[in-house]
Amino acid sequence: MQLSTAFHYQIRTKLKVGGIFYSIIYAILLLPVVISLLYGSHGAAASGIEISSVVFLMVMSISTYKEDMRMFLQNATSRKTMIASVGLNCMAAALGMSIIDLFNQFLFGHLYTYETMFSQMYEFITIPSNGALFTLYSFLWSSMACFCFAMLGFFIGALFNRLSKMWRLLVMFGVPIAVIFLLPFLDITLFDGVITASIGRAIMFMLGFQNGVNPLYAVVSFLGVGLLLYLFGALITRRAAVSD
Amino acid sequence: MPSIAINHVSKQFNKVHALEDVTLQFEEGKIYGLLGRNGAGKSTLLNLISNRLFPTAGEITINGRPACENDQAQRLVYLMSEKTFYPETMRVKEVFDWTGRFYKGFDKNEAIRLAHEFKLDITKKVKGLSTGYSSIYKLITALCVDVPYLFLDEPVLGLDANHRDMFYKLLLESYAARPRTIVISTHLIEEISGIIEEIVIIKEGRVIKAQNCEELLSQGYCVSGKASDVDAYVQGKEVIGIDALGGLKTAYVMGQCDKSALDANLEVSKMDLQKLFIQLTNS
Amino acid sequence: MNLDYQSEKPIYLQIAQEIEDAVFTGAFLEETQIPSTTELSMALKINPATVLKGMNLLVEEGILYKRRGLGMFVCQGAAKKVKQKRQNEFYQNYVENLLQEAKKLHLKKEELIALIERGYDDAVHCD
Repeated sequence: MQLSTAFHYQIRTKLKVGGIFYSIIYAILLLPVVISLLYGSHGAAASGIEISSVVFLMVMSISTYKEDMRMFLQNATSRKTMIASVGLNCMAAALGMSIIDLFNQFLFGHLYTYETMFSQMYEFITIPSNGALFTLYSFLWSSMACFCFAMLGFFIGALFNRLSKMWRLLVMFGVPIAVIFLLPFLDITLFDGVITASIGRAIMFMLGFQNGVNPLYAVVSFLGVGLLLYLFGALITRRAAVSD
Repeated sequence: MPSIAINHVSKQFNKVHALEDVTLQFEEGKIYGLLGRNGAGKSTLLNLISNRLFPTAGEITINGRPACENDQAQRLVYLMSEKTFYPETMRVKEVFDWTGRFYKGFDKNEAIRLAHEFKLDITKKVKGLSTGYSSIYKLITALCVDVPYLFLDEPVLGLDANHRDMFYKLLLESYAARPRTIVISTHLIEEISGIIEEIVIIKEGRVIKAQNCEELLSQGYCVSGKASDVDAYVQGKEVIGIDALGGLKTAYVMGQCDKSALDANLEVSKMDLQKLFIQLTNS
Repeated sequence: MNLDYQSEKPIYLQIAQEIEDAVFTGAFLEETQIPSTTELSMALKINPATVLKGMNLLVEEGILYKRRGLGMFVCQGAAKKVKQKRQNEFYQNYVENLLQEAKKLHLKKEELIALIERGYDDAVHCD
């Protein structure tokens, strides 16, 4: 079946690049161990390194979009199948990388102070931080975050494939500038900062900080936003022509 | 009869009408020549059939199934085009591997054998190949895929004469062993005129001829000789083109040659495909 | 084997002619197999269907016959058949053209006959 071959193809690419990625990650994680062996304990700590998994998947999605589409179209694989493959692939990769991160947490946590982004963000959670439930939440949170950003990458990849070079540059610079500078500026000048405030509140709610501390909100939010981005990416991909 | 049916297909790119109301059939088991000038719409047609582009109007079916976004239908088709759709960093060996996974029935051993014949290093990356060898690995892949409809868009681009000769021989050998529809789109008309059975000529987005090649060529002839003699002879006949050199003229005439009306000083010869094509497609 | 793409004669007829020639000269012996459609098609860079058409023509004329699963063979007595056919066609194939050319050159009948006689004389002297 074409979908199975497509899936294997995309996973293969991720594994190949993932190999390089993880050798870098492990080099970084082993560094404190090596240093403490050579120079004695220095109070080493790793903090939030699993964010790199999120970034990895997002970048992979963006960079492989065009190449994968061409490979698929050359090989009797429709855009429909590609869309399905991307979805399954990113979910599988998100889950897989989160399991590896969990493992790293466990392994290196015994060697030195190992903080995850999750544990830092949800510091004030009311459940025990070394319990199974916490680990489960941590896993769900990071895997859905990975999935969400992988889907963002897919969406960006699809969008950029559609846009001409000029538009691509415009979006690449224009969107960050608009969001980081223009929007707040207009907001403060015209609306007394109402928009920024409500956006801030919405984000806090989605991450689970509204009523107490509940990471499950974040899990659902990441999944929801991820699926939305997947949908948009799919819609763009369905009628995509292969650009040069 | 199983075929690829192209039904009133049009394709527009912004303001450009690449194809206009094209209705055509590619029947199973025949070798077709797809001819047209640069920009006539040949590649667009092939891209539409192989799901790389969407038609603006009309429909394409492959053995009755819609071609658009349909894995089952697309599995019956393979397009070798000038554009490389394989990742730049992939090695030829991997191209063969993956093609075998996407197209069951791909003869990998044969592909390796052919690579050897062409002296192609299959450990090389796609981006590291010269123009000629870029075409070679692609046409080897195309010849070894087991599909009923094979499309070759400019297969011999960049190939030296020896390799072109090899390719035509391999094509015929492959066709004899596994008869299937092979559509060759090329500018090297003289080289393929003997190989093809059917011909399709596209001019400015429209199909102007689609029939058996031998039939088409027998529908016309060339008459040459002294200019005045030729002019006299072609009165009232359908002339599609003239070549003049000093006092000599050659006229390309459609219809059957009336030998009795022929002056002894006029020479009649068969219209060859390239000449016919040029005359038909000169604006 | 040479094919003339410029000639008025369709390719399949030319192929039939070339095979016939080979039978006539003994290059293809009676009751032996001739090259397959594939071999000929590859050698001449011609569509196999065209080659087959030419061969089938010869099958109809009793010059070749097909052995299932093996290929095309030369019929017994084929060489003689070809000679007979060629003798019958000599007038059309050679004499008519000769006369046409002679007419173009404004040669009179007597001059033409003299030339032919000269041809015979020269041949005798060369042997």
